[in-house]
Amino acid sequence: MVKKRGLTKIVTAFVCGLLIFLVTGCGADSSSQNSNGGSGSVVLDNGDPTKLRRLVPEGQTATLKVWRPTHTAIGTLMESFSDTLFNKWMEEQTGVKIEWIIPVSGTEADNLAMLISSQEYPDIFFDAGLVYPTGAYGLMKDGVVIDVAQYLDKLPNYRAELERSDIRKKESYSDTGEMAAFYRFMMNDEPNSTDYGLLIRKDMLDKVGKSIPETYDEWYEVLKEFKKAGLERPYLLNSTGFPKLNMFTGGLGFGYMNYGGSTQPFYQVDGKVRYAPLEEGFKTYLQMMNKWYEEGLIDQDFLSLNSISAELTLYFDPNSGSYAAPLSLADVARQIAPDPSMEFVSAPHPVVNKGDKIHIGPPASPVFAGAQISSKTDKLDLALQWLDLYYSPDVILASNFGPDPSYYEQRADGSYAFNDKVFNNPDGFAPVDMMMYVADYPMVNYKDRSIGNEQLLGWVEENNKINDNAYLISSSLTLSDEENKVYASIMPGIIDYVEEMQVKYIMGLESFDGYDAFVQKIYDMGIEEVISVYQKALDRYNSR
Amino acid sequence: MQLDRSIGRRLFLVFNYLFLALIALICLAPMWHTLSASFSSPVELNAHRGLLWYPVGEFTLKGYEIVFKNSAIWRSYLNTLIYVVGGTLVGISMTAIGAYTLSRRYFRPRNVLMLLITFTMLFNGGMIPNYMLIHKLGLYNTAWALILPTAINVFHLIILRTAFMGIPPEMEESAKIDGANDLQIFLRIIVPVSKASISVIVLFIAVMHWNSWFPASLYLSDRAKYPLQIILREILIDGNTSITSAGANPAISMYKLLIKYCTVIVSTLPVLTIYPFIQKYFTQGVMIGAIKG
Amino acid sequence: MRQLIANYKRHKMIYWLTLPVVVYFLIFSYLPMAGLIMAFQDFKPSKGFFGSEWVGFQHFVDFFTSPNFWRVTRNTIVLSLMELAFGFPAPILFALMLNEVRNRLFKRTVQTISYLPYFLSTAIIAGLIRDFMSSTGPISTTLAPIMGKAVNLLSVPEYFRAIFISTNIWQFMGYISIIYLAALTRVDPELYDAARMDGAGYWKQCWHVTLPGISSTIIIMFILNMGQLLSVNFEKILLLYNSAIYETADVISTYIYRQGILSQNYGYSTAVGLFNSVIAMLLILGANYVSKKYSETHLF
Repeated sequence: MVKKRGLTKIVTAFVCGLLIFLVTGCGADSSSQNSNGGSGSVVLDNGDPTKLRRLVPEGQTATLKVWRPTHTAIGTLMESFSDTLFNKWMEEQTGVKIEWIIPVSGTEADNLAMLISSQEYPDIFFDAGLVYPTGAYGLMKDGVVIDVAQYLDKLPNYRAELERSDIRKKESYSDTGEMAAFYRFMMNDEPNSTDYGLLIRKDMLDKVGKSIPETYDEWYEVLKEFKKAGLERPYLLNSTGFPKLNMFTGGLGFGYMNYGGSTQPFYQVDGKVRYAPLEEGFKTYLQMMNKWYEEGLIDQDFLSLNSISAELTLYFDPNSGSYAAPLSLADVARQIAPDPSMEFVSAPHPVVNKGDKIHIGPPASPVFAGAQISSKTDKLDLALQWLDLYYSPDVILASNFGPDPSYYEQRADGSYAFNDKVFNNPDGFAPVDMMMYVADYPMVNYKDRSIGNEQLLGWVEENNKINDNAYLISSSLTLSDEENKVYASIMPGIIDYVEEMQVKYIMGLESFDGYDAFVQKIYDMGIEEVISVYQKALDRYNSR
Repeated sequence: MQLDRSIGRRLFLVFNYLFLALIALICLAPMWHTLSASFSSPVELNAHRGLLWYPVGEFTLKGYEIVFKNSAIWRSYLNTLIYVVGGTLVGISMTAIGAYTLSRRYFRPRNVLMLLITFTMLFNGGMIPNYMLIHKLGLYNTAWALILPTAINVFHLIILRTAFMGIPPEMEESAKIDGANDLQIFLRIIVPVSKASISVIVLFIAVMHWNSWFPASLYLSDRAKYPLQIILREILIDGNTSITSAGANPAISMYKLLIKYCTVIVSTLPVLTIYPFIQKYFTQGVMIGAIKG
Repeated sequence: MRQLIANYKRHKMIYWLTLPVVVYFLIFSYLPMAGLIMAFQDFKPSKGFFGSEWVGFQHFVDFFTSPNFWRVTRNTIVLSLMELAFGFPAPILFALMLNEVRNRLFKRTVQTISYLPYFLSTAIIAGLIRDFMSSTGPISTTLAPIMGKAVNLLSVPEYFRAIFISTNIWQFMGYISIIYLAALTRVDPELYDAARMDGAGYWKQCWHVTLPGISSTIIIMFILNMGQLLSVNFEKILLLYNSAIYETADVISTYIYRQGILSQNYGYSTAVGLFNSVIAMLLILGANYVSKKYSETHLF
């Protein structure tokens, strides 16, 4: 009995001791991370800084920690970004090893916030600006990353690329001459095109004897015919009532991406900021959608399409007639749609009058934020040199198409493209995964390198031709802290309100008699203050 | 009166059986649908609406093939097994001890402690402080980060405590007279008598660890340590993003829906196989009317 | 205090056995709780706890004056009360009914099957519900002649609450009933014999023996449920709702989630969470007090 009592005390003391040990004893962990700093902080100084070369003395390695959102190729084709052919090649050439910090898909924003709060900074961030509330610029203002502009003398390759064109300089520098990141450029400064577009059933068009619609009126006629021919869902709409990426609405003269987050919903006309719900075009769109909905031309269950998985079930449904989606789905549909006669083609952005041009579409930019160096890194020189190499002529081709020439070919006009090993991989891997496996993260991008077939390229070109993107507001607009506060305190309420009302108008749950009151309420909620704040930012941008 | 009771009772029993069978059917339907769907031909599946009672189209194992071909799956099964077993052992011992001491009426501070503990169930600092704590404790990227913080779930603690409090004091009397101390009473009397409640909590803790993915996504940075649920989520979500980006692979896209169902079966089946072993502990008991029909 | 020391001297072992548990809660629950200070700060990850600006009760004021505050609070409370009224008794009744079954195989099979919906991820269940309630689903097509047209049931605000509560019962009844089933095993068989001797029929036995036997479990579960009043199954609502039914479907957590997407305001969401926790604590204390007065069972 005495033994038992003693045993209890011992066990208890042990458990408590264990917990206390864990609290105190392992605090040393965080300091051990920096022990690598020693050898890696001095960059090997050998020869031409513009050429690809070893950055670390022979026989040694240095490690850089890089934070980076995950990719679908991980888990399917490879275990980590270090397995890509490009990264393996870079490591061989430079002697720099990369330790990747990859948050679980979907948790990037929180992961970044936690990393920063606990002061566990990596050396480099890739694409952190996409998930940080105030973007890449915000990361610099908050002191998380360095101002690249101050180190340009150490970056001969980057500097050379940067100064090659005015647009690159305008988009990369902030209003006050700082640079928050190593920006990614398009090779010839064309905006990167996206293959998002409108798909419509070719077989149905043939059946009802109509050609691809170009104007809104033509769309109406075609959809009516589809409905008469027995299609349940001539036109699919997603749950917000607005197709993504300004598809379909551009012809009515407004841009409107009501997603919240770091996507701002404004557009501009001649340098003046506008908010779509306050404009005529918005009402026209809602009325048109309402009419189509009442006549059954729009999927009656569109409200349930509030997620990608929901949309996917309908994309290949024989009863679906048309929708906004990535154009590459036309290929996918050909192979997996249950009804083999189903065929989709791309329809151009509809316009009001034949021959009109549209001024806004999916956001496209020749410059976008890429890599940022942490302000707390002790391997600054190494990081600077390593990132600079991405812009060196030796590296640009490899980063776009991979170091292994068996995966790409050079065309007659001198341009490059991936070959069938990537686009029609014999093992069945997706092209987007193969591209990642081979090439990884180019800083200077070849346009359209990810678009596989000629037909798709043709469609994308057609879409680009009628759109001059004049209404787009650049994503490198920056707001000051005060301005951000104004935006963050007023905008969420407005976005929420408009989103609720727009759906109700489309479904006819709200009568258009009250539309003026709806617009008035937006004014009452303070939209003008936000617009004026944005206007100031736009003015600053334009005078860069 | 004898007749009334008999007829009324019989009617009730019939109604009871029917009603329970109906409930069972309603509860079975979604699982049966998932099972059928997981063997269905993907093309037909994509076009199908509504509940399935048998696989539609050609019977196929391709969905399962894709899931198990993923190299990380087997390793993650092993990981999950470790986390579940470890987590349950640590969890049930600490929860049971805690429930026991808080159930002793002669333990003065117990009500105050109960209040303070319930407090922790409602008030939580959130993701960021917990993350920082795990780092400071040096538990980051270890199995302990998944086992320790969730060791005691207050809800479970309260249920177990209630069960322990319901044990008649007479049961302990004889042991006390023999001079047994608290720990011995716990191990020799309380635990055997409460087998039903303890097995319930063991089940809850095990299922909680089996299904959990969020703490792992926060505290594990090594893919090799990922549990099953994260890998399954990856398979599902990857299916989502691939199809809507340029370069979607029709083969994988076609199977996306099928894979969704297969992953559910894959993640549920192991639990269901051990379930009957635990079930017998909490369904055995007094049945009214068992004795005299 | 003196009594406490005396108590310790008499029952040393119990105190020592409790120590690991106390240490556990101190480290893993109370230490991180210090993070609640974010509710009073304009928290920025880069500035951390010590550098972020102090804003006092501003977040709370912002929440209470936000445009949809009353609507989301009302919806949250209504859904919770309905959950309490229908979702709370369901597992109890189910456990009682199951208990009446003589056939062991039937009992165990039904019990196992009832547990299955709990395992299905919310995403799958939401998908099934969406299909079921669509305008081409079985319910709509059956009701179409009466209602005039086939309607997507998830687009009508009035139906949402019924859909949500009934599917909740379907998902969780089996899982929760296990607790009551376990409690039923603790009822002393001799009490039934004694009741039968007194001439009690089956219903009287249930009323006088079974229910009182599990009453402590029921009361404790009820108190705990009161603490859940302001939190509703967030993920499920998020997957099922849409802007047309915000009127009844938008709850506090989904509203905060939408606002949070824009600015990732940790201070704000912590403040709202803190508000919810305080209310929950008050409710639990209240329920505990009432149960202390009218029964022998109480939480603390």
